[in-house]
Amino acid sequence: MNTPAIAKKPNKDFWKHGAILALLALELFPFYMMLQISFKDNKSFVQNTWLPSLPTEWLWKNYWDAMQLLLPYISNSMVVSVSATLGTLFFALLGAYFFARYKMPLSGALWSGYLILMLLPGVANIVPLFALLKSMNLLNTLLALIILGAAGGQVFCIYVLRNFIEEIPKDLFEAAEMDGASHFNQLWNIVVPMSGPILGTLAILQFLGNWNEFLMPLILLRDPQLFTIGVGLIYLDGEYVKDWGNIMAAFTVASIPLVVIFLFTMRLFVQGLSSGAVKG
Amino acid sequence: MEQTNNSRIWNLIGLGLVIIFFLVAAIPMVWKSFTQSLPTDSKEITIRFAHWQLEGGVRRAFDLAAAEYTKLHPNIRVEQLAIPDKIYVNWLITQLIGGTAPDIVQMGKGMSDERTTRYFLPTSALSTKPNPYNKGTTLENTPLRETFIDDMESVFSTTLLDHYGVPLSAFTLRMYYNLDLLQEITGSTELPATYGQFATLLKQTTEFSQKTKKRLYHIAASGDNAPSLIDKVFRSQTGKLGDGLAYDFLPSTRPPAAHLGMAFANGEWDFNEPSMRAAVTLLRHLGSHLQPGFMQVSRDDAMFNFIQGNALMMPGGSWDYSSISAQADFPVGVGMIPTPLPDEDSRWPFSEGIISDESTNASVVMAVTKESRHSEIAQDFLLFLCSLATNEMWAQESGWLPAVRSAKIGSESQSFMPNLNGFTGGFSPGFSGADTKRVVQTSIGLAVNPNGSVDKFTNHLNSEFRNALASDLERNAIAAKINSQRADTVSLALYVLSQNGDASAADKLAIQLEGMSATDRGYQLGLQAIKLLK
Amino acid sequence: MSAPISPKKALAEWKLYLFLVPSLILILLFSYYPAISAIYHSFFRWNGGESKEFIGFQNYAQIFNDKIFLQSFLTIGILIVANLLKLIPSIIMAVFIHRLSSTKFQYWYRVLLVLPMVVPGLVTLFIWKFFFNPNLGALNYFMEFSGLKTLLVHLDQFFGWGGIFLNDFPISWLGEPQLIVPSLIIWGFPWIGAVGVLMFIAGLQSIGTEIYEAADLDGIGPIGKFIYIEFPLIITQIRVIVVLMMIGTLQSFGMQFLLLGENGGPGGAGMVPGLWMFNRAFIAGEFGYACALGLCLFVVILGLTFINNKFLRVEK
Repeated sequence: MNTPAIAKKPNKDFWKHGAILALLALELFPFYMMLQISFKDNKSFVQNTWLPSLPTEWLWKNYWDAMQLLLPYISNSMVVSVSATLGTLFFALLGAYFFARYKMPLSGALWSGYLILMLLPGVANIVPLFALLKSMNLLNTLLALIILGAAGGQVFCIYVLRNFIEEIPKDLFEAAEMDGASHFNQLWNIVVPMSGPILGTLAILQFLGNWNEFLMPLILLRDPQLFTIGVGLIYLDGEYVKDWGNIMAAFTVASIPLVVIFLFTMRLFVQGLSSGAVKG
Repeated sequence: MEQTNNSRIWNLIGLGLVIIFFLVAAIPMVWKSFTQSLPTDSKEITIRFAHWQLEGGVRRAFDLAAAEYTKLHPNIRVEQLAIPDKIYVNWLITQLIGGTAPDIVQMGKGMSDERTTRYFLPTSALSTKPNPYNKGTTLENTPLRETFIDDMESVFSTTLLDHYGVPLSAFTLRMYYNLDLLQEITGSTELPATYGQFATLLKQTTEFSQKTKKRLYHIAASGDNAPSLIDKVFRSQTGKLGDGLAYDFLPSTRPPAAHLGMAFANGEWDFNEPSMRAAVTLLRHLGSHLQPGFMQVSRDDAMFNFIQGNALMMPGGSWDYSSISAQADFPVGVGMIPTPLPDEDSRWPFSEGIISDESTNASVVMAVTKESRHSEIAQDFLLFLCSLATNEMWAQESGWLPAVRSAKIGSESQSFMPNLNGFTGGFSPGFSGADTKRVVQTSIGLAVNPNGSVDKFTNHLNSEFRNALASDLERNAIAAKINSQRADTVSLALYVLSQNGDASAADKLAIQLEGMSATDRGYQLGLQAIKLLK
Repeated sequence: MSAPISPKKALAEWKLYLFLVPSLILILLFSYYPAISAIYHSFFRWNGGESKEFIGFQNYAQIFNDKIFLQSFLTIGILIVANLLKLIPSIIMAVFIHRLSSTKFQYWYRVLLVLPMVVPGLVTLFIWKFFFNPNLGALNYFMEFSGLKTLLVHLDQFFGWGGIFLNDFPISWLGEPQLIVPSLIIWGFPWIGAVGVLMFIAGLQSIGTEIYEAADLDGIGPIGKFIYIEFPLIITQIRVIVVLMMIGTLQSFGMQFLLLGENGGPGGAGMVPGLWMFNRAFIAGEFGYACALGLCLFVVILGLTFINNKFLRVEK
């Protein structure tokens, strides 16, 4: 939870606050630049590089253009990320339950099978994966991205969920079994309610991972209507005449969905990352 | 780890938001794909074409052409895909291999002989007949091939013996000048015509920037436009390099790059040849006036410098003109890229004179892919694009040069028209194959940097060029082997046919086969041969 | 741990296997099959389509002669070491936050920390690319403003670096071959990774207040507290992160691809193994060779993980 208070003298903290704020400012500096440039055009940027311009001079047009360009991409990314996350969690939950509930025959071998995957450099797979998707007629589809996202998240999620489920007291399961509950019932009624926070954390991590993915979409997608946000940004970077104000506005618009979600699920994010990470 | 009720509510709101976003995004998508899978009675066909010309004006021009085409054929929609050139090559390769390539693709980047025959339809058959879209013009009865200013030579593959694609534009390389700055520096707006005058101008510029303490780039070079300058530099000196070498098979013409490469591999010349050294010396002189690290400066950064008025000149192609004139707030002059005259300077004594523009600088070559489901319609659209009327409109709208004869261009484009008087120039080492290109382009710094030298460049290339050359030639050899195997099938089959008596049938078949691609040809002939041999 | 089960009961519980089936299918199809296919195809000359030509170990022999590939390992080695050093700011940040007295501030600082992580990685990447821009980039402005540039120009002349830093011209960060690796290292200043910091804070939480009090009584100063108390306790976290980071960095090439292009930038200075594999497959069209390269990379990663594990287990 929260770190116990160690320092006795609050005013001694002053320089710590200072140091932390300084580092944070440096860390957040790129985003400050992004925001202030997004309201200018190239000429005014060259004249006034560092400070934001006055609100009366703000070019909302930049945002308007950015939204027109990016909204389709954002919606595509939304569809892919949410679907992939749901897929990942659903299948991983089932799989983790299998491993955690009983030591079924072969489960040791199967488990190693999953662990080895953690080491595989995904890089080597791109080529045959491409050929595989081609033979399945899945090229240039968002479905391919969703499936890949679901498959990619299996290993990590099963690992974490297995550990979690194993911690649940066995008596709960045995009691339910004696009441005649099927395994699926046990999963639904015991595991799921207890695993709210951890499912939430995993969901967030998977969602982030899928949202940030750009390599496979770049390779697989041909039609601009299907582009996800990653591909859209790369194409934007490839334009010849760069209006930096426009581009920065596009970056901001691309960041807004995640920031909004983050604002609402803050505690989950922060707590989940710390505790989930400790187990890792 | 308990969550307070408060944070729980926030979390749920967050979740709710995600669900709402998702539904807003997903439902239209599902709806669209649902309605599209329903059979519609409108036989609307969509043709897609892809290119990498993101320059302003070109996309507009294509849009106009597409709209015109749809006016003529209301049930056909034409969609333009503009791909950034940085990712064009791997985009193209993945699309071709994955079978999702658009109907028409711009050729020129990432092409190899094998890819060309495998994925593209030849246009040789089309080239012998007049273009139906030229009805009512002076070109009405001219075979397609001759309607182009270069007779479609630029799209003819000597290894594959077929035409692939049609060119839509031509380009020339020029030097752009900031006339305001030029006036300040020299007091006039006269552009230098020879390298000697050019060198004087550069010296004046150095004095000017020292006097006014104004940081001025002499030449705004980038990794995109510098190679063409460097190319001219080399070619101005190496004209006679190939003379008399064992690989100079046709003494009346200059040997192609591959032959000179082979001569190098056999030790007949190396980079310490006087003419090569002269070229590198010239390169070093020129390079001292180029932006440091210019090979990695991007095209837009160099353009930015020029447009902001920080550079006196910038090498570029005719394709840049519309972007430059739209953004610069000073008058822009257009001049030939200066080459040295003979006896102008003892440091580069091998100069032959002004190098002419090549007439075969075709660009925007568009070809139909084999996998296209509407290949006939795609070919028809191509014919439309290279008809006199459309090409003229396209050229005027984009500001680029047209590829079709007697197409009228705007007055600003006049200075870009090719200058066909001059020498052809010699051998330039960096432009034949992928690996030699990489070696030369990454070594330019050795020649050009302040701490570089002629020796560093020549010695480095002497050791590195051989391996790169070997891998390029090997790749060529493998492709040639595959190609000749294809030709073998054809020859054998024709032989068998002729032996079996029906010479006229063989002739008819040959004419019919001319319209097919090489692989299909081989296949058809094989079938015929099998029939006869039975 | 999962409960043991007798074979007879296991048989009755056969339906449990069905739970695993969908997940298993996904990974078999999309993770294992491509991996095996990659191994298979590494013995062919394959251009990605249907035609392939069996050439045995030729691809592997070619790897030994492939200077670019071998050199890319050197580059990535440097980057790994740099990434290791970049963990330090995260540790420092974690210690500072951990030692604050106000839990409320701790929470809010952690939130602010996570914020950059929420922005899509591509956006951060492109903003930094913009910073590296010779004409408009913030980095060059900063160098001139702070006088660092003049310092670098002097050092340049002193050490004979060859005119990378010249007075009249902007520093071309992504343009000079020798500046590329430094640029990749500078990227992401001040190198505070949210995940790292949070993990370290979590580790530090296990330290009880009594230990701090005892330390105060012994008169140990703040730095001493770090060396003797905090650092040993977060060593496990550090190890985990180090292993994950090494595996991740070895495979990564997305940043290099987007910043420098498919050839690794000027002089190929930014070429890393993953990028070379991508280049061979999707630019040169040599898919078989790319598979062989990928396999080599896998073996290297496996080797490193093995060494790391040995190192880890000894200390546990």
